[in-house]
Amino acid sequence: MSELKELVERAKAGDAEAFGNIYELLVDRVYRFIFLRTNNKEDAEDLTEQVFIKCWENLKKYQEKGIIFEAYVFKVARNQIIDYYRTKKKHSNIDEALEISDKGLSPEEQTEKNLAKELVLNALNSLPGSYKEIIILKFIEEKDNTEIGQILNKPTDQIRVLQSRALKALRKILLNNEK
Amino acid sequence: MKNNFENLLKEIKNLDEVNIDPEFKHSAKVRLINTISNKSPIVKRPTFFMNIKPVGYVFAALGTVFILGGGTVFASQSSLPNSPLYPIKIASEKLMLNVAPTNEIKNQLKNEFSKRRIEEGTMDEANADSRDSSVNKDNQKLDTPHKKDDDTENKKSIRLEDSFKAQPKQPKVKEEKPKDPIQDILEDKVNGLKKEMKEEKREEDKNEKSELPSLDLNSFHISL
Repeated sequence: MSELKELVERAKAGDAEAFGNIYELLVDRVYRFIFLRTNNKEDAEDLTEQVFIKCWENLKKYQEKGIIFEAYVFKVARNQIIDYYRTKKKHSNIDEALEISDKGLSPEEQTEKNLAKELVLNALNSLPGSYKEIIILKFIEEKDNTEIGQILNKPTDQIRVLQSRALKALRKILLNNEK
Repeated sequence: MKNNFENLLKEIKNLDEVNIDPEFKHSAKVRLINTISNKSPIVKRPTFFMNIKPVGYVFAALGTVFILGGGTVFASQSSLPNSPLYPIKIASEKLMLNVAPTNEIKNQLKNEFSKRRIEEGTMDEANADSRDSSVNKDNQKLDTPHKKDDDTENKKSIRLEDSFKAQPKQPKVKEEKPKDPIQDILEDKVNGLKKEMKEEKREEDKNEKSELPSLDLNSFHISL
């Protein structure tokens, strides 16, 4: 039995400390996923907390039927992000992303912070939601297609297609930014 | 090129700005543990029916059918050819013959079933005889008081006829239906109009008579 699996079983029995350990194992990745989708530190922090409370509340309902617990947590996070955009009635992801890219860092700062990564991040923020989501999960969080399929509720074949399209779109944005 | 690009993407997670603030991470954990310690995960108490899986339902249904069906088959074993359960008995026998593992058992069953047929025949005849005899007895019982009854009935009918004759025939009374008030008014008006028309006609006739010269037939002379 894997560490996470064991912790989940203990937490299901009401062990709060075990759930604390689950939080330690997953919080970095969950936060990053949320931050890259919201582009707002405070909102990402709030949503991360809510995700773990929701997971605890619904822990008894969770049954490992083809979906691993980590994918389940990411699914909850994704739903929280959807709700966040729905309630805040934010314009679109792309608009926000453009705001960030417009902030513009000085050349000195950019060189300090690894210019290439920043450029890729800015380009990533310019991607539409579904493409951005798949790039984060596949290349940043390094999840396999099966797990991504479980999180996004899509078949693996479709994930593969989406992935290549997302990469193409990202390259296009990067090339345009270079010009 | 492709690998470099993908590697760059992987390295995004090393950027400070995309990573969680360690202070927040710790404080959030403390808050989370405090919150979850106060509320236990929502427990859905399983009911009896929630524990039964769909396969269980199928087996339960089949069991019910077998119990009920088995009872019917058992009850049909003592049925006779006139009984409604008799076809079930025959069907069960056919089934037994089909299921029989060896020819020996099959032959034994055939013998038994043919014995049954003979028994059924004799039982049916005996039943028919007893039914006939009981019917005859009943008929005899019914026949003797019949004659007496006939006489008394004849007498009764004569008496009734006499009483009918004695009673004077009453005229049939027409049932009066309640009249509609509007119909009454209309009838009155029509009658009034009729009277008026009659009077007018009479007056016209009188006038005509007075206007016409009186014809004295005697005063006519035919001159040739």
